[in-house]
Amino acid sequence: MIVLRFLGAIGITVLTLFIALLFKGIDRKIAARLQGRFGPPILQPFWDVIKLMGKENIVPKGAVKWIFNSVPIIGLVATITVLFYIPYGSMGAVFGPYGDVILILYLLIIPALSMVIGGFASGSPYATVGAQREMVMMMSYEFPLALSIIGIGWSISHFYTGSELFSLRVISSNPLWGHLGPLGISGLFLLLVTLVAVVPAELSKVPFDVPEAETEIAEGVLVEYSGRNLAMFYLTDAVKAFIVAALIVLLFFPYGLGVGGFIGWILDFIFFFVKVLAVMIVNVTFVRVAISRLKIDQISYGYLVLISFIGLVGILLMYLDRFMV
Amino acid sequence: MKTYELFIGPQHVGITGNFSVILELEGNVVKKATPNPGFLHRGFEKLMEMRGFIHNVPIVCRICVPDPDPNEANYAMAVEKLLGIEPPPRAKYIRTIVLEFSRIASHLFTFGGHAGSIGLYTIPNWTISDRDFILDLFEMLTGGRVYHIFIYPGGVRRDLPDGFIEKAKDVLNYLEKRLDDYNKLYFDSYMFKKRARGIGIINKEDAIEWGVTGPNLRASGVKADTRKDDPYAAYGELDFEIPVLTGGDAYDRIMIRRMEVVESIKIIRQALDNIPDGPIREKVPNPMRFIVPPGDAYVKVESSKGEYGYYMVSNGKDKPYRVYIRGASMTHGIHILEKLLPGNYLADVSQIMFSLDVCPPEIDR
Repeated sequence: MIVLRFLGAIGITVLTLFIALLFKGIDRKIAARLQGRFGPPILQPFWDVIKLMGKENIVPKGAVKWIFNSVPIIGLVATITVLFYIPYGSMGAVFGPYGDVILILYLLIIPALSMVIGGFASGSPYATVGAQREMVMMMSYEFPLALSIIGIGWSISHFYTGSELFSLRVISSNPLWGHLGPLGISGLFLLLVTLVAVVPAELSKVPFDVPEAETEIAEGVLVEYSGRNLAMFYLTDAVKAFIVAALIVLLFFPYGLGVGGFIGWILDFIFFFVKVLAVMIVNVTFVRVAISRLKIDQISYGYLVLISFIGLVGILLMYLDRFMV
Repeated sequence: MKTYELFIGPQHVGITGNFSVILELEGNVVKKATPNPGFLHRGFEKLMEMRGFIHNVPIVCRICVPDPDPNEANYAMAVEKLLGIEPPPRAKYIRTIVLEFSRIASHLFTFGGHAGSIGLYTIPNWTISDRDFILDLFEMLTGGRVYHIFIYPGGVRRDLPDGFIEKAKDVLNYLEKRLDDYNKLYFDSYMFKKRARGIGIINKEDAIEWGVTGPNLRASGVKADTRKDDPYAAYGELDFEIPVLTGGDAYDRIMIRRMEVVESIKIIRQALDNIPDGPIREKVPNPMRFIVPPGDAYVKVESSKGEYGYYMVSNGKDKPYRVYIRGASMTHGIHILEKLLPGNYLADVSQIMFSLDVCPPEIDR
């Protein structure tokens, strides 16, 4: 059993790395078309990673070397660990029974934290500014993120009586939309809005790309990274985009195609990736070509006041919904 | 709180060309800004004293790369004033067309730069590709895409080629259509207003006192434009408006340029329709012995960056004795930037620079 789990983990890692890079390529291509460019080939991210892996790894003079070199690995490992707790559509999570969505929330903080630490360790003022911004932004978006995910788990507890309340398996096999009245559905929709607003910040994409803001602080936290380390951050970014989109799919749209048998299993497995890609395109690609970057104070205010308020109203509506039925 | 130093430029995405600003920051707020030019020093003014009057024409366009034609026109007008000649009317109209196209091209560049500096990376891609249509027209007319070396003392170098007027009108129609797209994504967008409103305000009194010119001055509420106040080329015969806004912030400085693009399209349409027939060049001395009578002349034009003035002294030889260039970017890029940046957030530094529309080669002339 343990051997099987181990093999499954390796398989899932390889498959997801491939799919995540492929999705990144599709994302870049679509963004380029929307901007009136031809864009890179879809397989460009693979060549980028291969090229970066073969390049020299430069450590700046004032950097703390061991921290500078170890944080990309920590970030990538933490991100890949999350994959083992995500059910891939019809296929259950590899470490299914051992972890839940709360663990995923914690693991998702680690790549961001590793970027912050790496930025501080590199000793560059650009990276320091970027790391501070990343930290401020993380503190701002964590609350709405936790709010929407925990709100859903709490809402499921009203009709689900089994154990493992917060495991993604339970949440994704009990889609909430069917169990709620009109008030609850509008509340759930507000939670979806909250989560959708958090996604670009989690991935530091426009309009929340302040930690990397090219035109302000020249790629910020990543400014001193090169070669292998940069390739690892690149992979982390791609896998994180996949994970966050998968979270939205699992929490809000966990429906399969409804075809039975083995063929249905295969189709659902593929359909899961299609859904993830769709969420990524709508939530990351379209957003990042259409609007401009916000300032860090505007982002903090937006998350801590506006988005949190929307999330709280969503939870309140879902709570009130119980008395309506 | 401890301050730290941050270099913006010359190797930085958020800088307008070969230019650098050394910032002293306290946390997120700029305490002191020191512009650090000199990366592009070619000594234009000194070079011009070494070369003949006609040989200087390929130099002057390099003073402002995105908007080269006002410099050519200004130089040509200064030489004409010393020679005491007037270009023929057709040449004046062709000059107007070229100058206005150059203004639109330069403004498109500025929109791209400013939108890029606030993180809207779609607009630079769009404006740069739309600017290419204007560059195609320049190539058709002058043979060059960026540097045209087209406006000579005494007139222009070539007549309009066949089909130019139709092609120019097509490009104008296309640009007018594209402005709606820009409106949707950029000028009317909530995020642009949220980012650019109230950033880097120059009020009316300061603007006059500090010597701000061009669109930046008109964004502060002063209605001043050399094209209207002291008409040159064919501007006196054409009907156009001078847009004025009163905010004086980065938002208004970009919006005034957007209004000017509309006016420029209007001007070019009129010029294309009313262009008279006739010669394109007044008789000038032999280029190899281009002797200009002694005297001095000051001539100014309105470029997309602001007001250019050429003060030219001739001592009766085939080379100018002295050419002094009064440029807009020198004021905007050094003095105004130094005054505007302190107190702003680091995130707004590059958008203030782009909204002032600085042309670095001209600072280092």
